[in-house]
Amino acid sequence: MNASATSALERRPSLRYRRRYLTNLLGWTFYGVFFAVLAFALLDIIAVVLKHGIPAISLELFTKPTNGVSGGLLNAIIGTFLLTFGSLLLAAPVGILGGIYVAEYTASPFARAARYLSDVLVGVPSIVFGLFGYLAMVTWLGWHFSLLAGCITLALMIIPYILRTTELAFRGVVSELREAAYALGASHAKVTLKVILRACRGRVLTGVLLAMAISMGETAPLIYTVNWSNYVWGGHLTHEPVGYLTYVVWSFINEPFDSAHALAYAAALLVTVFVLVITTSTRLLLSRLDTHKPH
Amino acid sequence: MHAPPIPKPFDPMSVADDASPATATEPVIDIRNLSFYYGDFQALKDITLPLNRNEVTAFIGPSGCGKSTLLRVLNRIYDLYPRQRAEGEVVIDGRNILDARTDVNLLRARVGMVFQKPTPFPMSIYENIAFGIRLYEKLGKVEMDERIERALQRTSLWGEVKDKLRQSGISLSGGQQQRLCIARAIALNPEVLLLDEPTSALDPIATGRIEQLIEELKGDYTIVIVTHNMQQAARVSNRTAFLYMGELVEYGATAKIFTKPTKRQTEDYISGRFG
Amino acid sequence: MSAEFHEHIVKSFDEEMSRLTGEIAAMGELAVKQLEAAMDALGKRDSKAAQRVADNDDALDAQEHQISDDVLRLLALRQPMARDLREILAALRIASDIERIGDYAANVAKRSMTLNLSAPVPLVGALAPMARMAGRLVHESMLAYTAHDAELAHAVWERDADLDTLYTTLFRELLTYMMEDARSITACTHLLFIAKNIERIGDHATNIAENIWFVVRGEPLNEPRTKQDETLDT
Repeated sequence: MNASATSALERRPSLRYRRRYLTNLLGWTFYGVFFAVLAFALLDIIAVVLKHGIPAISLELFTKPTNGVSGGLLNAIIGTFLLTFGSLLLAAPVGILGGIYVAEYTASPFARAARYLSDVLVGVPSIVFGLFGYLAMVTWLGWHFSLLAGCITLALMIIPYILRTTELAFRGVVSELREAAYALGASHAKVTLKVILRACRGRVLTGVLLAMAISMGETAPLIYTVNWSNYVWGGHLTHEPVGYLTYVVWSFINEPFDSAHALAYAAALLVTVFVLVITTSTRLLLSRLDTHKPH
Repeated sequence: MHAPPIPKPFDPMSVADDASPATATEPVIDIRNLSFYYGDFQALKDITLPLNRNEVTAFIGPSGCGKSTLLRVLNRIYDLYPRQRAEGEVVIDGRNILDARTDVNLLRARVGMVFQKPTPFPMSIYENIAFGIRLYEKLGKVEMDERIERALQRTSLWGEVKDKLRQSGISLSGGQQQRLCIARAIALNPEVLLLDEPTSALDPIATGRIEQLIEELKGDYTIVIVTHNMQQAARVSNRTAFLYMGELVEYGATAKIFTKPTKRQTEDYISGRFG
Repeated sequence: MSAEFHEHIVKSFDEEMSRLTGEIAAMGELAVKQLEAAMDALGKRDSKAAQRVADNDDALDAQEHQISDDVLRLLALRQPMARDLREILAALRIASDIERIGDYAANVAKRSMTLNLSAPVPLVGALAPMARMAGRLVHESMLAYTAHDAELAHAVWERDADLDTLYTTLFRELLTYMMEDARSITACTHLLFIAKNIERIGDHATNIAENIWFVVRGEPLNEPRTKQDETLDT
């Protein structure tokens, strides 16, 4: 084989190409390092939670309420579920319908305002929501520490999140699908609710479930609105503080008692497991529902 | 001795006459002096074009010539977008559909449309077709089943999907999806079918099936097809309209347009030498 | 519609098209040469030269095959439309006309060899102007073809009448000659066939002209034409 016939693969790469190769290598190295840092942090958290949490798991945890800094977590488990589902019940319809509105009436001033406000709200620290709930509901409305105040506060926090993910899900639907529905003579409402919403329901649901995970893991908005209670919820929406898992984690870890530490780790483990279950089922749902992929 | 025979091998003029029976009938859609604007940009300039009943008319032209825009005026789908407007007249059954009083939903039931990308709705094959029917009629299960079967038969899809009507329309192949979209449109018993580059996302076999379907449907429907594929226009249409920069350059029998167009621009375009 | 057209976007299409027209033009010129050589051999009573003309016809046949192949490939691979389609269709027809012209030229050569076996006939000289005219018609039809000149093609088409007139005159003269001298009948019959061949070459030139008209104008050339071949009335 003579020199002119060498293939592109055998030729010595140009300087420019070698530089490109090095830059590429450098980039991937950075990615690798940062990924390792993040993965280490996550694994470390999980390891600590598992290490201290698993020994603390007992049947008593699920059957007895907290007694001072010992006892079970029944009151907190029930409280966490009540707060999570309660806030979701309030936030999901408002967030989804708001998201649809914002996506469908892009140009309306109201939609623009809603989009702007939700962007602002997403950036507000959760403790500020807690203070707002305290001032507005606990004191001004006179509800005292209560489930309702907590649910509304959490709902306010996650509505913008659901709204934005719903809006993005709607925008992600190809315009041809929308046009195809209109081309059959369907009304705006039919097109939106029967066709578009169905096409992106997986992504909308993902947004809702992730919002649920967020609200389950929150502590700050609840400290000033729900406070804490050693008793299982007695059925009152107002005037009754409620226990919840994140409070146990946040508060009991500072107590100088082993039983308190055990409860804190157990609560942390439970929250982690719940959130993990939610996010995993979200991914599963997404892969099954979101079949409307581009060809 | 004998005279050298003057051969009469091919006469594009006589081809034009072959397609003429349709000119005797009244056009289904009569486009008169139509102009169209995207905001300040004029995309169609004074188009006058009759579309004949039960014929296939092809709109051809380079990208941006206005052929899709013209198609999208015919069912007023452009209404969805605020800065788009049409001037002039598009007359169907003696009525100008551009008139603000036109019920666009009823118009769209009469003038069906199929798009470039197959657009099955995210529901079952059965529901895909039932969706459109339910917008206009309340049918019992038996009647609905019949209507859906007929629409699927008409598009040669029945044999392929009759055992999986409850499966998602999205599970079908691209070509099947496109036929499902055509079935969905004809289930409403429209008079006109608008096809906007219906095969540009399909492989040649699926394309062939769609073309065969067009052939079968043209007896019952007036079909307007926009296509980038000139051979396709030549194969499926009776008449061809060539648009360039928003103007109708030439309109005539397809056989004539593809053998002996009268306008130089048409000739340049269809023979692949846009200069 | 003028002769110049934009180039194709796909340049190799233009190259293939001009190759095709080049082949046709070359084939046409070869046919003209064949006719001239056959007439030369006839005039000089040169049987060897005549044999060469007859043998050379294979070259024309081969060229026609080449053109058929090219046409087939262009149709299959380029899907020509409109003018291109007419151009390619006409190329096929013109090639077949030229091939026939070549056949007639070869036939003239073969008959000249037969004529050489008997005594010379004086009327041979009268064939030369007729053959020159036929050759010119073919040559000019080729010029019209390469230039896409419909007017020139039309002129060729009209001038075939003159060739017919010449043929009619010669036909009558040969008849008179045969009646006067029965021994010359065999030779004169060959001459008559040669004259007929030349007249047919003219007809093929008009076919070519009609095809050029069709390519350029997109419609057949079918105006009525006065026919000057009056031999049927004789």
